[in-house]
Amino acid sequence: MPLEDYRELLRLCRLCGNCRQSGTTYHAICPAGERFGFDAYYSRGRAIIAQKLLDGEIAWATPVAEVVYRCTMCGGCVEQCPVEYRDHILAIFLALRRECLERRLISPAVKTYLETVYAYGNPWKARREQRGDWAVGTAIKHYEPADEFLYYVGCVGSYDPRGMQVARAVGNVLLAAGVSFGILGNEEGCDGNEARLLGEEGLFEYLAAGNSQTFQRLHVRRIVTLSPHSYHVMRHEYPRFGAGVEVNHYTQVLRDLLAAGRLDLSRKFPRRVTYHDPCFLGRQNGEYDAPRAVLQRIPGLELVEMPRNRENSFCCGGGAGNFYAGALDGTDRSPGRIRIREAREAGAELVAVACPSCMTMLEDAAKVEGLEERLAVKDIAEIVQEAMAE
Amino acid sequence: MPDRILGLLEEIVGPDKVSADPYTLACYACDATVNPPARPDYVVIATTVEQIQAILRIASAEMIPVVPAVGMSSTGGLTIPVRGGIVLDLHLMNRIIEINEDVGYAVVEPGVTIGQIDAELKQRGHWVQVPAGPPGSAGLLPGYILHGYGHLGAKFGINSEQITGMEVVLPSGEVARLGACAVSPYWFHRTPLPDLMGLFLGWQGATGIVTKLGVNIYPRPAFKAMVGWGLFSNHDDPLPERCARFLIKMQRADVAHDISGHSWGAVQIGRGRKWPLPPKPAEDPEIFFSATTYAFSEEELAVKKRILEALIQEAKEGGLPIASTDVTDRAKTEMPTKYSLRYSDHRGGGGLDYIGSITPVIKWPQGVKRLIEVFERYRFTPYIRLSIYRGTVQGMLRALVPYHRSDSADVDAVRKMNREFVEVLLDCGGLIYKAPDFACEAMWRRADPAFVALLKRAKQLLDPNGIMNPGRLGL
Repeated sequence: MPLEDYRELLRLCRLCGNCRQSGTTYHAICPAGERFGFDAYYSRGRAIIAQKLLDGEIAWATPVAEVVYRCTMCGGCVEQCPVEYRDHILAIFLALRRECLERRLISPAVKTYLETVYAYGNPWKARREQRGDWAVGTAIKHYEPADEFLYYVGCVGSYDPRGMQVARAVGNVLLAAGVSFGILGNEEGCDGNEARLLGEEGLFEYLAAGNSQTFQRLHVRRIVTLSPHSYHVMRHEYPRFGAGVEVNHYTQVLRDLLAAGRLDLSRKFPRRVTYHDPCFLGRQNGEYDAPRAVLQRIPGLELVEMPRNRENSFCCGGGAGNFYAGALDGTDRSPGRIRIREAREAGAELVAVACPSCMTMLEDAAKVEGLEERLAVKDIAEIVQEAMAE
Repeated sequence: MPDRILGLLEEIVGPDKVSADPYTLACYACDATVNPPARPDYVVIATTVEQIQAILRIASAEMIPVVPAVGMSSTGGLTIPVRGGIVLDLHLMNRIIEINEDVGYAVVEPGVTIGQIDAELKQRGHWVQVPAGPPGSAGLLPGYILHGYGHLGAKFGINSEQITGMEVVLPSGEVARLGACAVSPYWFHRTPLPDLMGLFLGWQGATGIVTKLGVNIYPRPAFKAMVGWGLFSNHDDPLPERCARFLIKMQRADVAHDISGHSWGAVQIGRGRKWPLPPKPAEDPEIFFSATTYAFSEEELAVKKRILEALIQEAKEGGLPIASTDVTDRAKTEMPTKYSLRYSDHRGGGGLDYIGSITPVIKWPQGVKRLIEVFERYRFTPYIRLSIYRGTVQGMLRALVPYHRSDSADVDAVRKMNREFVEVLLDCGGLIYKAPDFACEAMWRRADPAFVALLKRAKQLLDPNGIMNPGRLGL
């Protein structure tokens, strides 16, 4: 829907400021608000800005796009909003972005991201035929219709060096459990989640339609994703493209495999670990338990919670294109750095993540904070791999 | 041409903590009330006392208005910069400086939220009186220094009664500590020194900026009970005088932490019912009351609850038309809560305004009847709240109006109603708290001229250039 259609719904925002804090623990909840501080960066401020834009009281210009695009769409404000406005917040943010895009107000970083994804099918200008290179040297094979799962890796897992390590870890664990699965390699396309959240609906539709056609052609019935971003968009947006698939995040599959006794975790992992909830798995999809269930089965692992956890979790700052645009980086108030300090203060030696974007955001933050020697960041699949019997 | 003032402000707080862009300014121009919006010229996020000092020195020299703000949930237009200037956003000054359980106080910065201090104290087995209206994300300090209505008012009184000390930056840039902390390392009480804190309480930021606040803390009781009763009066006499006298009697028993009432419409709106409400069913009470008490043991709680129930029974047998009501759900609600303002969407449109007063309880019957008449004349659901304050026979009497922000007829009606509410409450001998400018002016019209003259002299003395939240207080 265009922004104009939200004119009345915008009035549902009570301007109460609950979107700034968790309503149960009263910790800060908004990554952009914490980074920049001005009310414009909180959900309340964005509602006012949208209203004033519609009323013509302020003009559409580049600075408004800078404010609009610094939201990570993490859903923290949605979780805290006590009135019906909560049901419309993210749709309104999306409408704001679409309008910014139509008015050509987007930042060079966002423009480059979208153009590169359109031209190359990934944000790094990497060649499509290299998309499956991360699996070279492993026993991970191409998907065949008889396979139970298609393992969808996504752009970060396919091209980002750290993401590729995580992609391999998930694949190796699935192999060890005897799961019948395969990957698409260079037939895989970008999932389009970030393009959609950046307001480029046309590009998203192009990407989603391409992937959906591939799924149909290969008779894919079940997908396991590496990234919560892929999980989210395939679960909620792909059905309109006729994909007709069951979508799982890999932590859900690992949970079931462990419960079924298909993985032998007999090596001790004696570390004090905290788990960072990825926004697109937790708040956006309500999956808080599967990753914790996996971690709780690791022998020797002590799981400690950060003050902000589950629905009150604090975003790493990488959502909705900010992983690529880096618009929240640059100071000690950057969300990733705030989060990594929180993990350290919780007494953790290791932060477990379940998202390749969170992995990079938090690992970078640990380095900047000078904590990389004392606070490792690992994906849950990597921890499982280390705990598996030889 | 470079903005010279912007440059000066940037030198103090850094360029990323000052904004003059229209998008940022727009967010600080309004609240959820019908008070007309007005944009500041600058928004500055201050994080230290030294920065506030430097900003106020510049503002004084340049005659620029300064309006302090914290959680952006303010009502009454209190943080709307009616004459432009600088909005000083203090929400990042959010440290709990000290919690002294032995001496019984906490010291907080302006940005510490109600929920933040409550959560911290809860872990330590303590509590603090929290402002009852705002959500947990609102600042504690503004509610306290504005004489806000606090929860558990029957035990603690008005929020400002809990203040034990403060640090304030004067418009000149000087910093002063007031209360025991001016002499002692402990922020324990306002007395026995001459109490200068009154120069900053209820002044709506017109005399200086409070940068630290000491507040009483108390051991937190673990047990809670609530009793409820409905008043089956009639529309022509919704709160009979004998009911007011019963409330006074209950307060004087000194058992309840809170004694509050809600008009029938207020209860329906609180339950999420939308405009328009059906007519009140005959079997429903006109006003729902509740008394809440806390205790440190089950035995103590049982005794307190028995006393409250006996008082209700006695009143009933004495002919007061009341009957017990089920308050099981309400008893589960703890303050603070993020849901405290959700009723603002009763008419759709998210607007909320209110006029609140501190009024003698014995005048509540007259006040409630006349407030309802105003609501009905403007075709709004009567929404009235009442709460008794500690050890007294006065309390909070408030008329609240959910309205539609984009409906100009609604906005116009609420503006007129607010002015009528003020007159009704003043007629009842009440005083308006967190008063919008027109309500202040209405009070001063009835006030002792010498009092108003003294207010003006105090303001002139502290803020000779008139930079602090000008256009407020009707001065």
